[in-house]
Amino acid sequence: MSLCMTRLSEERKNWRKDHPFGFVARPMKTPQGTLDLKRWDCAIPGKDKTIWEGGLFKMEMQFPDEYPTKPPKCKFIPPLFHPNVYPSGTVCLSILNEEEGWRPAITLKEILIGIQMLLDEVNPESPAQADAYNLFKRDKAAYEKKVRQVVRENPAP
Amino acid sequence: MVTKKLCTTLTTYFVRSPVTWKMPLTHLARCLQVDDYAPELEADDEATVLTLLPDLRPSQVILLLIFSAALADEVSKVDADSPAHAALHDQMEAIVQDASMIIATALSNPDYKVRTEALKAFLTWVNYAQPVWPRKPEPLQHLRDLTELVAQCVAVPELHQDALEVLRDILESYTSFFTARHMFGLFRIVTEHVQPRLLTALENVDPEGVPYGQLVIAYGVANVQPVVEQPDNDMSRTIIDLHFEILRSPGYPGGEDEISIHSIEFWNTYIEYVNDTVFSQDSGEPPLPWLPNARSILEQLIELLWTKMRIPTGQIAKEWTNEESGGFREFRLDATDLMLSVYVFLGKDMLRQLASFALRSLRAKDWRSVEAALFCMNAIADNVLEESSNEEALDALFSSALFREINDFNLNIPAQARRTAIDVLGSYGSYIERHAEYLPDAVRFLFASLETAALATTAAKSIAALCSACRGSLTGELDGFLQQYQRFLSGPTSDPYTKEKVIGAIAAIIQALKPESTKVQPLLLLIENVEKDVQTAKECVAAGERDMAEVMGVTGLNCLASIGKNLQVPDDVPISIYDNDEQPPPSAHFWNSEEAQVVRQRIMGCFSVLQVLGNDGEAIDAACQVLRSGFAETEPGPFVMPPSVTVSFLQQCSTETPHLESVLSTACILVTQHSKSTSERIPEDVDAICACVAGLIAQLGLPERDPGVAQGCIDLFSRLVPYYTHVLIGKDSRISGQLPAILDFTLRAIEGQDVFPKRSACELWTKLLKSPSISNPPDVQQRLTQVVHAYCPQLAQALMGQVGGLCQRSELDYVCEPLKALITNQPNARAWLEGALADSSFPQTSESVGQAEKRRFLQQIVGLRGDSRKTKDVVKEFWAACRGTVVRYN
Repeated sequence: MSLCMTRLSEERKNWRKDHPFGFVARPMKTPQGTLDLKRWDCAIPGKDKTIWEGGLFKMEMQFPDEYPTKPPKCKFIPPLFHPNVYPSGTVCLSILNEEEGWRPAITLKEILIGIQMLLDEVNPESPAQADAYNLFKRDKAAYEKKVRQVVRENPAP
Repeated sequence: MVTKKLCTTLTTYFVRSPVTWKMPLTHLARCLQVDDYAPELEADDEATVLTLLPDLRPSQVILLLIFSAALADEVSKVDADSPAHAALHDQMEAIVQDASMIIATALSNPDYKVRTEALKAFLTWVNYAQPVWPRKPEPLQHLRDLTELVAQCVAVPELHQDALEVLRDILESYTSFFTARHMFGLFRIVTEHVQPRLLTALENVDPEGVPYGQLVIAYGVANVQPVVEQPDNDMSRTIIDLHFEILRSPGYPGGEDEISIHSIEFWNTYIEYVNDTVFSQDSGEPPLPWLPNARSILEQLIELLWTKMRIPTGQIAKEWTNEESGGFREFRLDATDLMLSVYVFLGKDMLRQLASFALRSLRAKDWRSVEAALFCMNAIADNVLEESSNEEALDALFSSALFREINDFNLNIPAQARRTAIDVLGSYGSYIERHAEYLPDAVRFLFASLETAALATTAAKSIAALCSACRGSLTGELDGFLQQYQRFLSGPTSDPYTKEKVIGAIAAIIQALKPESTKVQPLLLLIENVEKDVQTAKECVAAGERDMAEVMGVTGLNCLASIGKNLQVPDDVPISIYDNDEQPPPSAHFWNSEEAQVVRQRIMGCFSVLQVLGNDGEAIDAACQVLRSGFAETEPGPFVMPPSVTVSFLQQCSTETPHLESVLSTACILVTQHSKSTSERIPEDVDAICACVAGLIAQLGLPERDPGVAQGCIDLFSRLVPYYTHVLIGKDSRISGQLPAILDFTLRAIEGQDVFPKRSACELWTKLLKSPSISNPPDVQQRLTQVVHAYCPQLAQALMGQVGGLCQRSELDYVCEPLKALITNQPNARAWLEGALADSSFPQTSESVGQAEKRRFLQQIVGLRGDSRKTKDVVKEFWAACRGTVVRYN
């Protein structure tokens, strides 16, 4: 088995054994019915006591062949209203950037928790979408209202 | 404490001392025996650790055990690759003999404390052995020989906790430590000691059972292959039965039942093994003999999980702590995750099974069981819908009395059951779309649910989804829904969100009415509701209730936008390409008739709320959404307004207007809609828009004063290329006088700190530099060339400044675009870039970038002639050199 696949089955095993409450992460199915370890369906819950509380946001994770040397790509589907999420839904986060904070030792759990933290801890230094960024900078009240609407649109079960 | 410190010190001596300490354990035992320092034993000495041990007191044996564990622990941290350290590891192969003798003796010591310590030392040594002795069975054998002694501790009440933990740990993390013989021995321990205690604990819902359960789970996971493939042997049957018993135990997961959640791990391993084996089989291979057994086991599992997933009664749920209800929800999520994997194997049969659980429970009016079955069905919905052969099982459920009965709000049904039923309509939406016969019951149930506070939000969302998807099949229900909507509006559960969702849903049904004229009446009824909100907003302002005015006004406009959006012709309606000749001329279209004008006027009338809420950003956003809803339409319609409406909206704005970006991006969309190859050109309106935007730029002065607005303005100019290039560049355009100010503004944006104006300005210049995709009239093209020529030296400076280290790394990709366009399309590019690199405006860079490096950089990028990837690589490297983050530029 390639390094990529060995690591991914290890990640799957560890995740099943122990995962933070409310998060979802499971490999997708191939057309033949087996699991495709390189593509995962995930969902990130909004953190308690933040404006994101009560929401659950679907995300897709794609692992390149070079994983874990290279980081996975994380994409919210549909794209999420958030200053650090590109209009395509791709998450802009330093630990997911090969040239910045990515390290092969970072686990799936750490990535998902990192993204959960990013929801409420916006990084204004690297904005990715104008809509959310402008509202965040200009009108916090309207931004928060919009976020609460997004939460209502994507409630946790 | 003292003992621990002493052991640590001795261990450090063992690891660090240049003198080899041959037999530290025997030596320490001898010292303890004489209660003083004694020299190390000689090779010919007859005493061994075994002969010394009987003389030691329990506390001394404990000390020896702690020391032996400390040795294993400390040496495991030492890298085996260096020669000096390799010797240490070699020594451990001898020391393990002493260690295992000490542990073995200690395990028969009558003192429980000694035995507990022995268990700990054993585990530490096994953990040491795992990475170091994978191919050294001899030293490992000393530890393996202890297995039976350790396992026997499970039977000792004072030791069972520790023993279970040690065995579980090794089963989970180092399965191959146990040979087949050991596994068999462990199984005997399971049947003799674990099984009876576990069963009693399960029956009494006693948390004491947890470690026993966990051992069974770990044993099952470690032996998954025989458990799956030899279902008839004793071990497999016992392990499966015990796992079933765990799920059969009374109590709710998260509450008193603490074991079930752990058992999911075993079942995940089980099903994954099954799936991997089944799906890696070649088509020619004989069928796997164990398949029927696996199928039957998994079917039993599904039934047990379903039972375990039943929600507690209201009384029990009320007494639960947050932790308990969280634990229960977690179990349900983990169990449905498992079910998804099981579905891959069982497929249709599993769906049938769940549907029959639901129906059986429905007949028994056992709503909590109905809920659990529906909850499971929701979890597998996506997979179920992939296969058309599943319809039959779904038919059985949807044609049942389920949605009629659950719609009877006089029945005492848990709210959760209704909520899950609503989710079923969402999850199986595409199935219901194909089965219009089930729709009315379903949607009636949803409308009725709107009036229950706990259900209103989910119901509104499902109504919106279903009505939009099945609009054509629901036109007969329209009058009823309109009435229900009115009743809902006057009730306590209507709020901005639900109102907007439901009004849009009804509008979607109206969209499906034919002919167009029949849409007018119901549409006016909907608009009347918006007008009421608008009126209330105005009255609130008059009464000084600003907050309420904002809520009502914004809601009204959002509802209007929702109507507009849902009136759009759905994407999947086929467009006829043959009957163009039969189309009435635009003037004869119903929505251009006088009767239809009334609707449009009433819509426009709602904008009057902006007279009192013009300073409210959300109201502006909502009004923009109303305008946009008509843009996408290709035929006349109630929301299709002339472009002049958008233009005059923009004309009323200034840089002080809140959320001005929304208005600008609305104008951008208008320009884009009229820039398609088939769409009508609107140069007059675009000219007017440009005049406004130029005015805004003049008001701003600098992009950094308001990056959001600056971006909107630059984006708009960017959209003028290619179809409205003349409006931007032409001598006769309204903004020709302001063009230099506009272009200066865009250069300033490239040089500025703000990401989005910079990106937009890079895009604009890329478009201006590239050869046009349509041919411009000669005078426009000539002027474009002149303008570009005049600005290129400044543009080159701005770009080189960014590449020279001023911009952020993540911005380089955007900055590269105009740079590539410049190099590819402008013969003078080299000279301009050279000038820019030499100019005093070029940033002070790190010392490693001098004239030579700049020359080489220039040569490289020009030589690459716009090659995208290579240019980016070269630019990134130069940028890093300028920033001083790499030592030198190569």
